Amino acid sequence: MLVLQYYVIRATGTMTLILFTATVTLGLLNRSRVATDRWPRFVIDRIHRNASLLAAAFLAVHILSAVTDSFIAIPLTAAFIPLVHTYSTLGISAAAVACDLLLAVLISSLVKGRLGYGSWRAIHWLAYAAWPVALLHGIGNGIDRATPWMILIDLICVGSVLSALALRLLTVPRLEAV
Amino acid sequence: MRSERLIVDMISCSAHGMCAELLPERVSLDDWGYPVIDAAPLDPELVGLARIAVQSCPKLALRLQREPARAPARARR
Repeated sequence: MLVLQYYVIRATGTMTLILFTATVTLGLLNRSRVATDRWPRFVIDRIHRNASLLAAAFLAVHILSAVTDSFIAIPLTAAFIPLVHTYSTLGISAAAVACDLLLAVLISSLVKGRLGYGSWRAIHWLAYAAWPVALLHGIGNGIDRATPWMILIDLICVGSVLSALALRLLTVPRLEAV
Repeated sequence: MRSERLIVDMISCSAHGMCAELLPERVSLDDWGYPVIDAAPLDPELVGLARIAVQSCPKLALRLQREPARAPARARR
């Protein structure tokens, strides 16, 4: 059982990174108003929303499997409060920061209608802070961090977000000047 | 049962156009990409789709409004 849990922690962590990256990339593409006949705006928007919920589910399993593992013995508080645990303090603190930011983004999006557009958008920007922090947690703590396939996944994730960000920076000022 | 109609806050709208993709039955776009909305009460089979369009508006500019009680009386006249 312990060995299975060890795999679950690694697999859900990697899946969370991939889904979180997809969410950020699609969000950036949507902000740049990218659309084709086969990929209209609402399709990208819907996948952005659904990928984010799926990422949250994987993150929940990732956190639960990590805090219940008796070998690494991370307390549940360490998943939300930085600097409470001495095991890889920096990496686990990064995870806690990313987790808190993502909780704010998730909850604010679930109550977007009640929150109003301005507040929702201000909170949604926290996702841009959470993504690199989550990536650093993977690079810092991931057991598979040095394997070629994990380095490849990290590189693809960075490339995906950076190219979508470049597109956003190139297109959005032009959109808003109109 | 009171019917609902779709309304848009044109001040908040920034012409993302998702409403026209999701509810072409009631929303078309003008030359600048802003929505032109059919203000007639929604048919029951369109209400679910209209609700999805409302939830999808990136600027929260689209709303469903309950038709005022006196409106049907005027319609009958």
